[in-house]
Amino acid sequence: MAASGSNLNVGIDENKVSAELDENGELTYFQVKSQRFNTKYKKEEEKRIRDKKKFNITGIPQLGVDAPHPYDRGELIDKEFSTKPLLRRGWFSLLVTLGAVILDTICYLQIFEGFTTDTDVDVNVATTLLAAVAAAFSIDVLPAFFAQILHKIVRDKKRVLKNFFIISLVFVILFVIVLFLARSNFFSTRFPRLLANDLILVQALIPIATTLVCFIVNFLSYDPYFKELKILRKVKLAKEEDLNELHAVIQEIDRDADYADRLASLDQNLYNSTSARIDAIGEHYKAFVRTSLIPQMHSPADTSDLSV
Amino acid sequence: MAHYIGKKRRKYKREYLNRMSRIPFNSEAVEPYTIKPSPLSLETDLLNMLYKIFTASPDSVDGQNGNMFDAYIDRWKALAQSDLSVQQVDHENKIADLVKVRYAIRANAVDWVQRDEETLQDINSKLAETLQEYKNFKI
Repeated sequence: MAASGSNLNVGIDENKVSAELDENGELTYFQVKSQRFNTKYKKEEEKRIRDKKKFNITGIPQLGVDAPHPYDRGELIDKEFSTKPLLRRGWFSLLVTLGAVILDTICYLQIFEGFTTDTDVDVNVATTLLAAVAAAFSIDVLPAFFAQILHKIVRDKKRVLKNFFIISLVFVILFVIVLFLARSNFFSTRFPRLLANDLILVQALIPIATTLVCFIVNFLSYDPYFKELKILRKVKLAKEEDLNELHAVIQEIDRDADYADRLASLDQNLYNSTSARIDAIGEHYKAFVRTSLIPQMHSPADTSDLSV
Repeated sequence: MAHYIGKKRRKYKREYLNRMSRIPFNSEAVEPYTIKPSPLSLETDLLNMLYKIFTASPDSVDGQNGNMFDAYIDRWKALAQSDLSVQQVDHENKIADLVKVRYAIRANAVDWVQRDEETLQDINSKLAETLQEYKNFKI
């Protein structure tokens, strides 16, 4: 905002530059009206800010030119909320889930290949791969969503532990069923070669383990209030800045009570100066015409007529 | 309070930007006056007249020609002064408008301060509530 003060001609073209001085004679407002200069200045200013951030120094003498560049309040909030344990970060849970999906896909591929070799059925490779990926997704991604929803619903620590116990029990029961099926006659009669060794048990154990890992990691990493807190802090900061700006506007208007009178007097001065300028231009041209006519006169009487 | 978070925050941000764009800063500008008809046109006319006199009848140039030019320049001055008066009335109206706008901005700002302070109180209460929930939620 331009401070109140008188217009100052800084010695350059008035139409290109305008500046204002305060009561102490210090420059408070400076504007260049040339678009070319402004573009150049803007580019230089952008470069200065870029360099400042790049070399992480203030570049301001009052703060110390070589002092480290201070964070603004928004950056401080970002910094405060970036210190988060690895387990509680969103991308970590995503990474774990993706890793589990890849691991399970390999595992299921081996199991399905075992089935096909046992039954001597010629199955397309793409179909097997698709089935393996689908199975891996369903066994890993669904528990991840389930964990997040559960974490959202259950907030009390006691209930969390209780539910965690129930979910763990469900997975143990599932594992026991798989173990039972693998050991039972149902599979051993149909897939004798596959179940000749205990490799199938390990292969059946891996997806269950990955599912459990996915569930636990997603359960722990799901943290809606952390994000909400950050947003609220930023909104609060924005509101405070709004308020500061509005208070500044009100103060500026209140302080400048004689705004209308000042503008009117400035306008009157401009009117007077332009009016005087018109008179001066008229006089100048009158003199110019006389000096042009005098050499063409034929007698002193004409010259005296002219000078009247 | 949910409108501070998530998708609806965009709406809040848009509202903020709209509001700031409604406040015109640096609106105190007194425009310079222009001289109409321009001095250049006067100069062109005078030079044309002088050229005609000197080429058409150079022998008949006498002192009375000066009075003719004076009358022409006085006419130009009167025209320029009357145009200046018209411009001054325009400027007075503009200044009155600027003052009105300034008072409107102040009233608007006071209104927004009241609203923002209420919103800030809401945000503070929501922040305290969320902080408590975050502490409870933490395992």
